[in-house]
Amino acid sequence: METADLISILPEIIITLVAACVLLVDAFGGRRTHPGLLALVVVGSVAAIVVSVVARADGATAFSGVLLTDGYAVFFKVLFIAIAALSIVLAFAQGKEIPFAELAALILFATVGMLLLGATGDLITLYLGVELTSIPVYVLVAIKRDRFRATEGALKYFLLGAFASGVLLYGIAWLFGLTGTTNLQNMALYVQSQGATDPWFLLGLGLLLVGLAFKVAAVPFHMWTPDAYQGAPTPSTAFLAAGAKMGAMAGLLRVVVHGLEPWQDMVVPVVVAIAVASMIVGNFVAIWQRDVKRLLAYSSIAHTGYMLVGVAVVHAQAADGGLMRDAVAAVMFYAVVYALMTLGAFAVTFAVERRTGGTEMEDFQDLGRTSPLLAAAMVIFMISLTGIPPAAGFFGKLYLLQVAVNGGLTWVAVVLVLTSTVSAYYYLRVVVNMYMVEGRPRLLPVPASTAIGAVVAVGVIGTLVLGVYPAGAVEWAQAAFEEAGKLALSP
Amino acid sequence: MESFPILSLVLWLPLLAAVIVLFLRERRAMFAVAIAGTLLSLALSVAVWAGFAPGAGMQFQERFDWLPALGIQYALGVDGISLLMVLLNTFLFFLCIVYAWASVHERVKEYLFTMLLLEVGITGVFLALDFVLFYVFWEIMLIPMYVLIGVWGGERRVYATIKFVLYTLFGSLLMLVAILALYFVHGNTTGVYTFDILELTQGTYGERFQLWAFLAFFLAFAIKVPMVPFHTWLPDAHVEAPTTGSVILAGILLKMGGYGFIRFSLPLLPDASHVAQTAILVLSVIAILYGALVALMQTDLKKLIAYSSVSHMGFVTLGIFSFTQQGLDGAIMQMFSHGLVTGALFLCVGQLYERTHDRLIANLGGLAHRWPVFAALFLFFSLASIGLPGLSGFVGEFMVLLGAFMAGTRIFGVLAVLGIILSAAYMLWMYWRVMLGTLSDAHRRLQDLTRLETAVLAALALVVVWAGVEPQTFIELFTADTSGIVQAITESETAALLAE
Repeated sequence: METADLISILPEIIITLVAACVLLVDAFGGRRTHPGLLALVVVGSVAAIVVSVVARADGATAFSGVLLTDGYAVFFKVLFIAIAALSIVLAFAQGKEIPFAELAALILFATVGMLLLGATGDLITLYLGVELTSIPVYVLVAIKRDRFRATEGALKYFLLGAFASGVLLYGIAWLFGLTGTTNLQNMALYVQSQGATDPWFLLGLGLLLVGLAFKVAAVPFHMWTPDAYQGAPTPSTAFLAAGAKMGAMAGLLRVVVHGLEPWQDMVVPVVVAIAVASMIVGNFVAIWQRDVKRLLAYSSIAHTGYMLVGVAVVHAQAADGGLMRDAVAAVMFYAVVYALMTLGAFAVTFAVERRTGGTEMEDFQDLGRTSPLLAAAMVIFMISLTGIPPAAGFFGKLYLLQVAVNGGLTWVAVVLVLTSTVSAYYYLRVVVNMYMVEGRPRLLPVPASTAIGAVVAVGVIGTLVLGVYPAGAVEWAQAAFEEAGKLALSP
Repeated sequence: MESFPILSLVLWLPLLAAVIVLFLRERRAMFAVAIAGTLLSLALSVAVWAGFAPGAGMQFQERFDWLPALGIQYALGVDGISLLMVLLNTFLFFLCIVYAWASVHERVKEYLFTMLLLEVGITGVFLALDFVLFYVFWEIMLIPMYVLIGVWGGERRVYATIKFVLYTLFGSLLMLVAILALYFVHGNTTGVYTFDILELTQGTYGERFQLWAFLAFFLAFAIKVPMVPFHTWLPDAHVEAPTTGSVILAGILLKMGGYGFIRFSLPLLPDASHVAQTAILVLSVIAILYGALVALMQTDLKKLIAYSSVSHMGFVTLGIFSFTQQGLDGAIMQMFSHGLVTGALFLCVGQLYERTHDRLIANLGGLAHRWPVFAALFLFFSLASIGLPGLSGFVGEFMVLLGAFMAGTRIFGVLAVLGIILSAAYMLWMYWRVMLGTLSDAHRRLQDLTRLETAVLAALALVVVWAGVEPQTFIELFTADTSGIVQAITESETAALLAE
């Protein structure tokens, strides 16, 4: 272990230390320290973001290839730390019934796992990252332990999640047994030289993909999503959707880019099938949801499907260096956009929940009159999720569609746009309830909260800025991948 | 003049006004800002007209990179076709906001914000020279229209507005895929990956590809026009929309479909246009006759005018797909005229409804006795809608028919003439039942038009007469551009014949 190795995991170290501090201070100081803890989390996150960008170790790998320190890793580190910080700010608005310090610490611990997932160069780190993310998130869902729905959601999530982790590990073991390595690139090189005709390879590969598909909540491994999303307290749900899921997506993309090229004939159809199934099931089932949190859960399944289209293109037949770069950059850009609009939408939902105690469609009624700013923000998030300009969701989808058409997957692009049309129906129903339905006799305005307001503001500004000026973020994602791309080719 | 970003000003001034409106409290001040914004936009578009050189292609171009990584530009420009549409647009929006001053009292701030945003979207559609920019504006206008119908609409507004959005989104998203495919096909053959509309228009594309792309574009535009059988969203949207919403919907939104056919389908995909010609002509004639017959049967005034729109827009597609100079020029004149006349008719119905709170023809009657001014203007626009010579409607329909006959497709011309006769029947019958006859007691105390309402309608009437008496003023703007399109189409036709 060298100093450079340690520098490369400095962001992870900072986040862990902040989490530990939060727990300790809360244990001795109690509730009155919470504003201070929030400040600590924000300062720590900003520091970790700055460190990830500035203090990058030279050389592309750390800990002899177990971790990668390329632009891709940095990109996701910045994104994940920001998501965690925003989720914790959101949680700060939660009343007494939820222990803020524990919630914050759990989110931070899960974030460390996500950071590893973005930087993983090895299947062992991948597994570590997945588990480090999942275990705190199980607790996050169950944190209101006296509530029936929370327990139900958490139990389902935990049982299925533990099973999926087992499947993932089993797949890794198969691949290790066959290739003699867990390093992604060495594995790919081995297969390239030896050939991958052995059907056992496919078994290992299949198990690996199933495990990851579960973690990103893709159909048919999505069953836990609606219950977990609905049962968890809303700030946890926001983190679950925007954070934990994107962590798994970053890991999945990493595995596909670096390790699975020799298997493209098998990987592309499987990923396409999962993507199409996720888009169709997610969007159609969402139509029947009355609860906005459940609705967002199904919509998140659909958005996983959209992103998987980009993942499939990475190794599509027509893929060359440029297209591969664009495909990865499209998924990365979409991850940013998705995180912004999802966090925002959950923040508004959280605000509404504080008014009536529920998150049903009816609870949104009259929001346009009683809280015009929140309602307007929700409209922007819904437009963005639908993919209508000038919100960022449009460019996210445009980029994915572009790579899909370029990669010869035009029919998948058509499925994407058709299911997007379906999604307009349920997203706009939220808008209908806010503006076009006469509400129950005079609902009160939503209680003001600076914390929620801050998260909503970040979401709105981010969504609009990326919608009007996407060039900066897109170029960053492309440049980030250029580095990772070079890595993939070097032995 | 070249470097002055006048088109951007035309485009973005309403947005600036919209943002200012958000921070105002007083109704008066909000309207002052909104009227000023739309008036300035109108004045600037008239200035563009003054500086416009007919036949010199795309002018007043502005370009800079927007998302260079994907070859997307912010590119604006006008030729004669888009200039006329922009003029119509800024003119109608100005009048609508002025009219709303007297009629909109509920949620004024939101209303003005929505209207101004809608103006930005529609103007952008006509000005964009980059496909992605075009698409962005094409979709941006969806949301304000959705809100306009959904918030200020009638009883079944939620159903109508969601139907409107889903129909339009369905068509336009498929168009997006076609645009992306165009981008790659062009890039793969020429090595230039761009969304530049002018550059893409110069490319040539394989016939198989053209057919698929044409189908996708066709769905988007046909839903917008709307052509039968994609028209069912229109009557619902019109009936539920507030008055100004109907004016914009009929006046300009429908024109986006016709504009799309002229700007994209014909020049980009000439071979596929040929293949589809007969089918679209048949659909056009069906639209003309079916729209007119259904209009005859309507009991609701707004629905009647909505179906008359379907019929009139049938002339537009008939003219476009006749592939003749007269037909195309006529189609554009018809779009211009229909925007003015139908916009005015919806204003009239709105005024009628505000006074009587009734749109059912059976419950009205004899109103001419009490409202001489209204009766005169309503009659004027009804006659313009029928296509009385000397008014704008005649020019467009006559030229379209000429084009249809010249294209060698006589039968379509013959059948389309029937549509004009039917339009006389339903409009005059409607006028007779609503304005003449005996006045019901409930309507005895109602007031005639205010000066403001009269002024708005008179302004429209003036342009209708102008376009009817001196159509050359408008035709000369775009006739050079349409002749280019006709030439391209005939070239592809001869090429196809030679290949056989």
